Amino acid sequence: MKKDLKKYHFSSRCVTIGLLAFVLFGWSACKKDSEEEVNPLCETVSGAGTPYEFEKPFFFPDPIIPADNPFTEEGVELGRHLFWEKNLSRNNTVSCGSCHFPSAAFSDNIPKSIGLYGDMTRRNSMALVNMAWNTSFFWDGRSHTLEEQLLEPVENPIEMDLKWKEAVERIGSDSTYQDMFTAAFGTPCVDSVRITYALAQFIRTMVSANSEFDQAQYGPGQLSISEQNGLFLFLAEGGDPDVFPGGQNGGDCFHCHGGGLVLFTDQQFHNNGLDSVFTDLGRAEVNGSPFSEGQFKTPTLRNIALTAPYMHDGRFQSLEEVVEHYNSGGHLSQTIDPLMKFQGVGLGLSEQDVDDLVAFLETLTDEEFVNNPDFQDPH
Amino acid sequence: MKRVFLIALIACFFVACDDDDDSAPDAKLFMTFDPRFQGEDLQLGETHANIHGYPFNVTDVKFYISNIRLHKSSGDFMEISDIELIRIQENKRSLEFVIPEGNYTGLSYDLGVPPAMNGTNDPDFSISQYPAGHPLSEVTSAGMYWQWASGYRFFSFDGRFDLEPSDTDMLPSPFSFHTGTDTLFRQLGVFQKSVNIEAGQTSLFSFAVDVDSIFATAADTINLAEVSSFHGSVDQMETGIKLANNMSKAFVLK
Repeated sequence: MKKDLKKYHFSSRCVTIGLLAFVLFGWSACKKDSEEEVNPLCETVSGAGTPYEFEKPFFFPDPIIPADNPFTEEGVELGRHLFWEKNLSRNNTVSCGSCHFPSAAFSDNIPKSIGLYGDMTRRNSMALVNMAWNTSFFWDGRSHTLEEQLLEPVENPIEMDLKWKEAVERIGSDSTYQDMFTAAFGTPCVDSVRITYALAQFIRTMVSANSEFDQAQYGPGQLSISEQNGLFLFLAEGGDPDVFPGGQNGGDCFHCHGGGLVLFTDQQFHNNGLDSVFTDLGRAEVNGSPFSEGQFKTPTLRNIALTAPYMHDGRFQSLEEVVEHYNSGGHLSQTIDPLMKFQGVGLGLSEQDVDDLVAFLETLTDEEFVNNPDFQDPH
Repeated sequence: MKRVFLIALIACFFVACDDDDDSAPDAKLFMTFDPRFQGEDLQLGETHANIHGYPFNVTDVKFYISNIRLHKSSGDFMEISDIELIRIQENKRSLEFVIPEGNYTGLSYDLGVPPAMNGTNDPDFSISQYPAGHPLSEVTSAGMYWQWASGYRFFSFDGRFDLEPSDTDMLPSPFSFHTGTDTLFRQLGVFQKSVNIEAGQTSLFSFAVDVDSIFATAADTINLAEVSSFHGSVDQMETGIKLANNMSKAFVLK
């Protein structure tokens, strides 16, 4: 009995010491130490400045703003400076704005963007329009948040080719930026998280909701007869009803570009019949599914007239070519979307219909958006 | 004793990493939905022969379920969600709910968007009344809003087929069945399953969506040679009703 007690006593102390040791060990094991050694992270991340009043257009849904990256006036302004900062590229020649400039609705006008050494990137520059409502980023949707997306282009060897460690040193050694980081985040500390968070805040303020179409749909404006017919065709099912039951002789655009007439994208991935054989696997590169080969994210149609050329590889020069592609029915492949119903037959849109659809798409241009002084280069 | 010591250490390690462990663990309900064909899980894009002998594949299945309710033996029920969107291609195939502990006799839900949420006949309806993240928001409804036919699609079922089987894997013809409108809203009845859910436990309701039933039930058959598309056209409502009836029978508790 005595022996037993003693044994209990001993082991209990042993457990206590062991627990203490392990609490310490366990606690330290929970920290993300590997990242900190390479690149020390700043303490406070966000929300230190003046709250930014985000003006949501009344006909838009409430966006999803990450709880850990609320807008501040100072954060947005810092983001604008960083967006136009050429020192974020290795040879100081390229900023975000180089491939996402205002007159092209914050995309560019070449098939595939050119990086800092003059080399061609893989895909067409995507327009930065209403990103606050976007749910996946890049043509293949490989990033789930804007903050995550923003980590890529700086280090991409074709785009900006700058290691984050170097980027942080460059920005952090600039006294103007030190003041701006203090205003936005509470301390002058700079890290890749703060840079991408400020950029994300700025990019989320880029809201386009005042096009000719918006003025007609949600305000007192009016579309021309041709534009109205284009809108009708946009929302109508494709196909001759005598041949395809349920057809409405339409353009069948709404299935992917949204029947809600707000965001003009379903945020999904589709193979729209560009090719029978794929040189770019698109979504399949992300999810590994052969069934997703040739699928790409549906882009918004807002400001689409400004973002030529079109498609992920910029193959079409004009909106007429784009509409004619859909009118032709596209190319059959194993992954072509079933919503592309008319291979070999085509939609049967007349020349006038094509013109009307293009006229409608042109009403989605928002001059106020692209000319907004708040988005321009401050340097 | 050594073993006790080790377990204590491991437990301590886990506790140290947990952020929010002060409240009691929740009781949870987990629902899953998987498309099935001829009794086996159906992989999207995989070619099979249908009952008429044509090769076909399914490329996407999306549907709204609404009025999700847990039933008690007293006859009472408790609503756990008003609306959810399942998107098979994007692997949004499961739903998780925190529920009160208790004994339940079954689960029920309806197929489609209830008229009050669907904006049917509501001149003031705007899709933007639903914030991003809501299953009916334009941001997160995966293109299920359907302006011209009024309201949302309820069940979207797309794929390809070939009436003249060839050597290639290429299936040249698309099929596309999209139900919607109040007429095609369906109540599925109660899926009976007795469960006693306690704190910290998860109860699983696993559903198969039988593609066989969508094409053919004892009452109605959809022959792709005759009809391969329904997008809500009033002229095709007979097909729509067949589809909605068949779809409502496709849900089977595994």
